[in-house]
Amino acid sequence: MADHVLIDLRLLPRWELVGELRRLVSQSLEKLSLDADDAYGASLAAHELLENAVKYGQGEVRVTVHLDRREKKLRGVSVENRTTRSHAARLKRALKALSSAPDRMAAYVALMGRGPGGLGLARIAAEAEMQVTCTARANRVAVIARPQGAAHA
Amino acid sequence: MPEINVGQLKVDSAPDGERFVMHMTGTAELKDSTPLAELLLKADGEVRALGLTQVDVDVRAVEFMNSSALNAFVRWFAGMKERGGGYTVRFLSDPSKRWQRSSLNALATFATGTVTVVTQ
Repeated sequence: MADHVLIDLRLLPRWELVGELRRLVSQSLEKLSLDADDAYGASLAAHELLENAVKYGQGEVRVTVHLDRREKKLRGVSVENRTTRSHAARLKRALKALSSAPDRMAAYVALMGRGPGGLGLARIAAEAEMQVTCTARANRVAVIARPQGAAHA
Repeated sequence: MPEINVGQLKVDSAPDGERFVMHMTGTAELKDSTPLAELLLKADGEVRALGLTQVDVDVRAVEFMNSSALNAFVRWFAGMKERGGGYTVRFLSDPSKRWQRSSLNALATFATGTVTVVTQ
């Protein structure tokens, strides 16, 4: 196991930091010569998950990016923040619907027709072909995006 | 229409012969899709008023769009469908920008028959 935490940040929930995080993740992974699709997936996931945390979460946000350094493979991107129980429950329902969809791109396109809610999560799953899950404990929720087939970070 | 800034996205649009061309540059990291959706709705009105049948949206110089920005396009295409179409939309894309390959194809799938993606 060559798990390595490339990025571990605690951020204020500021809108201006969302794009900055995407650029940081993208540039860091490019410098490590990570697979271009993995680098895009990580930067997209970091952007969309931090955006959700800023919009719907409360307080400080923790962002981590895990790599398998030996294999030069992305293991996952995690964004953790404080939130309400009702939001955590909505998030779980959305992710369950997404993970049970037989065709993620079809689910993403169908979601487009139903309004903006959940589009960012569906985009990570469909465009970056990542598996998105969440864990909720007390008043905190962590959303984790992993490449298909990656071991749990 | 004069050049308009929606956050860090610049949009410059004008009729060009039989087409209406929208050049976009910058980054679309929108908190809310409404300002861009309103701009696209305004363009829709101009296209219809001029009786044009094609809109080219040149996003080759757009570095990234977040899901709220994509939602503005979804609102445009959904509105077009409600108004009975009337014109087609071509995205002019740069496939070296990874987001364009996947996000524009998803939009074209959402609005099949109305929207196509052209790489130039």
